[in-house]
Amino acid sequence: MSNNAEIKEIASQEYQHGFVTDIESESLPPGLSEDTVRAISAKKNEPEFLLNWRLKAYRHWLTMKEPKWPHVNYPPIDFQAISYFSAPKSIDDMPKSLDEVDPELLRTYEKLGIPLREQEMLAGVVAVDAVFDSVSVATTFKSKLKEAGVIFCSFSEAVQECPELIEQYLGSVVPYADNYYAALNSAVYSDGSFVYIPKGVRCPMELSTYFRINAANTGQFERTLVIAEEGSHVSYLEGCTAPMRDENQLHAAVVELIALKDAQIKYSTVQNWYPGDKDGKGGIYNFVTKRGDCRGDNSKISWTQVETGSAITWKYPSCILRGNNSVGEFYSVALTNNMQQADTGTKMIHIGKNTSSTIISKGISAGRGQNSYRGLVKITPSAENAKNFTQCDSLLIGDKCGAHTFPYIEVANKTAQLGHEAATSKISEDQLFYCMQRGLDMENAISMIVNGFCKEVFKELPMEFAVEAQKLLEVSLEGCVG
Amino acid sequence: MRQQAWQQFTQQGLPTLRDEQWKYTPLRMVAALLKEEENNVGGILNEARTKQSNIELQFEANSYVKQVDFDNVAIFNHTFNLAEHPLAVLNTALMQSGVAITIPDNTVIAEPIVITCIANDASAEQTQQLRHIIKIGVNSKAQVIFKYESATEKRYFVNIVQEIHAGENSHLEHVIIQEQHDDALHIEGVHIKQAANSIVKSYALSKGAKLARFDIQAHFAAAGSSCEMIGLYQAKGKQHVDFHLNAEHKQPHCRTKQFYRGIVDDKAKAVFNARVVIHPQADKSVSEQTNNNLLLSNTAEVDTKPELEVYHDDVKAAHGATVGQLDKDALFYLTARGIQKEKAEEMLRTAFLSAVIDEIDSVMVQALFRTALGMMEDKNGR
Repeated sequence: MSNNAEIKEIASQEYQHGFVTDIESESLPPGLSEDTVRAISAKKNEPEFLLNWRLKAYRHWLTMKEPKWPHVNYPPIDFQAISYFSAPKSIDDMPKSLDEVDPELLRTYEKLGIPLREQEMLAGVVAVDAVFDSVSVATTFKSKLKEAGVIFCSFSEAVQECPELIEQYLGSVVPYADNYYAALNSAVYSDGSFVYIPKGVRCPMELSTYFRINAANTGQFERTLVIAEEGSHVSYLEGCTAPMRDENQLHAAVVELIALKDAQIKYSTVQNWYPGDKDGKGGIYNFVTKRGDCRGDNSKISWTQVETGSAITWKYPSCILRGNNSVGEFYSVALTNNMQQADTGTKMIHIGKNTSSTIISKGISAGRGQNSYRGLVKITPSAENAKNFTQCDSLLIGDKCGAHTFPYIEVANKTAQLGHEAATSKISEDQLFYCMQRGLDMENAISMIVNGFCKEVFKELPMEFAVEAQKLLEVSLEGCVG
Repeated sequence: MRQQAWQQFTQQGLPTLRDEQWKYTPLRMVAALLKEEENNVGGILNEARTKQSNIELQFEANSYVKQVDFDNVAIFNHTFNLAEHPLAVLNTALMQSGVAITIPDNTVIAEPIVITCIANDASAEQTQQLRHIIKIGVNSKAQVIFKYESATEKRYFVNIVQEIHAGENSHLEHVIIQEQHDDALHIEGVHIKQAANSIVKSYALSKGAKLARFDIQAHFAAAGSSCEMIGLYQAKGKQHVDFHLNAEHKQPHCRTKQFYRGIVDDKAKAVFNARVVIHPQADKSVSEQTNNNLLLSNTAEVDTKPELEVYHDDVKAAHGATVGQLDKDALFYLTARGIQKEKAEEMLRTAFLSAVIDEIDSVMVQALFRTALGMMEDKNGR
């Protein structure tokens, strides 16, 4: 190829969001014990019930074993070497407005392209609750949301302001004993986001949280809880980037969604954490439990995710279709390049009558990346007329990568109709030839074909994210040929 | 060898639901029978357990087909990894009888070799362990048919391991028809090792038994081989049928096709797990997996899992699985034309299974399958 040098240059591009912001962090020393849990809870000034819940989770976690079944490899994690709490120092005097926000912080966001200040106008579309490390520092457009009765704040604020909602819903979708990392999260989560949409309200704007891992050696344990009351509607965006770092960082978040009667929740994720360098050094471990509960009739939960970052991604955003006529959707693009590994997919548990679910998963493997789809569709005996359609396609670029599918289908009701389709292939030479014959170079041709491959998922993303996702994919794929 | 295997088995025991490969298939009943035998015959490895078999093997003995010589230990356990198959470990310790089929090089056997295994009343007293060994020489061709039947009403447990060596450029049609009575426990592992450019076609039909579990595994030792796994299962009452197919593509230019269909009714449960692994050096691999299920009752269950592991980009791999019921529109069409509902349903079921039977090369095997399933003849009188 003529532009080999150029490709090499692009291929060796450093992670462009890799920088460390110098802000003094007030962190707990590394280590995990009951005292750590108590300390976090005390720092957050939490009510009694929460501390007890955390302790129960911690004690249960001690009895559990680290799961080994996913199709990923990583060195054992030393849970005692992680600092479980880190917050920007300015926490004591929380900024009242954007002007009071630490300028260093704002610069970080600027580099990331998160418009907090100068783009307040633009941000009028998106209310950004920026999570800097583990504590939310600024929340925009709260008042507008307040008018509609929507509560959108950091988790710790919610604990202070509406503990009754937390007590009622926390852990009701993902109980603390659910799995190893959910238990760990329940014990030591530091902060997260909380959304409450009252009855009949259509959230006036798309809600968005940007997560950012900053202080070195800090595990991020986020807790997100979204409650959509009867007849409400909300679209929630989550996007992530992280600075360059040598040691692997553990991220074990828990997301719980609750959709009551006729409610709709759309949860979109663009995940672009540091994937580690070409040899797999560094990078984030992303072990996340995400689950939505369609509790009421006619409710709907839709997950859309674009996963391009992290050294290891391991998550299964799931839907429990409890209400009659409820709908679950899962759209995913997962890309692994270099030494990245992904084991992701979804679970659709059909319980109510006339429930339906759709799963569209696109996996792209390049370099030495390993990409697995693991999904469960379960039709319980009570789920009359359940419908599911699953399609999971994999695209392989290069002969050292891998693409795997492990679909579990369990059906116990005869009225169920479900189909699963999957295909694994490389980019067809005909397609490449066609594009290149028309003057595109190899890199552009591949990028174009890959974008076409993912289109079905991208069109489900909110507009702001769709553009970002497409760019992200291009950046992540750069240097995978030649 | 027996001692070693027995030691291994007593250490690891039977697989449980915690083992991924046995996630949907509990072996409680097998464990109970083993326990009982422990009390009757003694839970140790002794002659009484290894010498006597109560499964009658009917076949026409000739220069190609004879009883397995169990004193010649060198012939065993070459087609699979013992560590991965706990039931094969048990079989290695206790194997009692079986047939050895050896086809020399450059030989085409026109007549099918039929082996009928019939369990008698005494088979309930101890576990039955069969080991069949099939060797097909270079450029040879054969058709082997195994029929499993019962001449008893009692519950018994039969554990079978088949080792198949397909020589270079050979062609084997391997057929299993399992029609035992509804209380039998049947576990069978078919381990196929294929040399270059060999073709193996495995046809299986499972209809009887309370618990029927098959592990059919193809292992391509050299390039250019092809393996077809085609089968049907029918489960009703409280039957449990489980097929685990596996193909390891370690060499280039190999091809697998896995096509299974099943009908599950009453309180029965069907488990299907097909796995194709394409290793990094397996250029131009082609694999196809299809599994379709008809679920006819609300108390029945189907658990299907078509798996693909691909470590190479120059491949074609696809899989599909469906679970559904009889097509309402088709049923309406037929009943609107004056066909009784039962008859119409029967026609649709037949059509569903026929799609698989039509994939079978041998007309004779097609007819065997049709008869076993009690299907009406098609328009060609087949």
